[in-house]
Amino acid sequence: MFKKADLEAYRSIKAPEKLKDDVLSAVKEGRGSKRPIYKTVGALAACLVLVMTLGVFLNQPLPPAEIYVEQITSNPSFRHVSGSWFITVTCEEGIAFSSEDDCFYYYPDGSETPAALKKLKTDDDVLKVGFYLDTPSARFKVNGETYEISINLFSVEPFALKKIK
Amino acid sequence: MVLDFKSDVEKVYDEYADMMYRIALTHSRNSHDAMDAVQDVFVKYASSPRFFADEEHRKAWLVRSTVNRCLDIFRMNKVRAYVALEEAVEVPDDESPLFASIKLCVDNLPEQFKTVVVLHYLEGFSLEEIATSLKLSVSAVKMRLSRAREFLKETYKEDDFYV
Repeated sequence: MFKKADLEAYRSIKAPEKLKDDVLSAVKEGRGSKRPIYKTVGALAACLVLVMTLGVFLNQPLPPAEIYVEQITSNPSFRHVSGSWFITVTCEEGIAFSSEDDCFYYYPDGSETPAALKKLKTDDDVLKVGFYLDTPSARFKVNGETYEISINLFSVEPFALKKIK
Repeated sequence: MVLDFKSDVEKVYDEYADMMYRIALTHSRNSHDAMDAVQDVFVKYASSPRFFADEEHRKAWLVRSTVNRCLDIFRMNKVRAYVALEEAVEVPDDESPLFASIKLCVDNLPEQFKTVVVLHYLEGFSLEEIATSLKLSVSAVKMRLSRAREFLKETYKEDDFYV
């Protein structure tokens, strides 16, 4: 992908000699570079903003959303393998999605990790969640409501979705 | 005991510092920020001894911590001051000018692609190693690499340093 000469130049880069002395003396004294204080202040400020924002949002539950499951591959042989399904959630006033199961996966551009779906809040109208289902059923929450998705590959509709009261 | 731990840090430094410094350089504005990032990671490593299941686990932790620390420093710099344009695209003067083309390429990559490109194409990590280091699935790593390739191909199709 890159030219060989460029790669060799890159790989020949060594940490400066001075860095080793800096690191070992910093380790001995237990001090980092001069920057950590900014991180601490930044983290405190972020916490404050988060607490204030949560205070506002907790009193405003999001409206119920529309949810359905769709197949995203035309090849039925993939059905019982995994990974070829979407849950699509639509809601005009924002979507809060969370899951305690590891089977869920954020799919649209691959930029989010599965961990992001443990608790995701978005202002988008539509959220598409690709998923793997290794167990007979799994639960997730959308805008405060709990849903259960269950699998029956011998049925015409292989996935059933129901709201848990 | 103290001496043992210090020699452990030194051993780990000798083994991984060059790699960490290179990764830090690709994620930083200049060599000073890269050095600070590496130093901070080692202080963190030494300040709270961790259990590593094996050497791969230790390496993954060091890589992930280096990238995260660079991102922290980058964000702090953005908050603290605006920088002149020529400083923003600064390439460390003490490095080979050949590195400049790679640095330019990597700097223009979106953040989510940058680390996987650096680890795979520059450092030679396998997909599994990257997945472990960044706590991603292998398929997510593959997808990011494929999108990064498309991005670079489109962006540098008329330049000669990308082949």
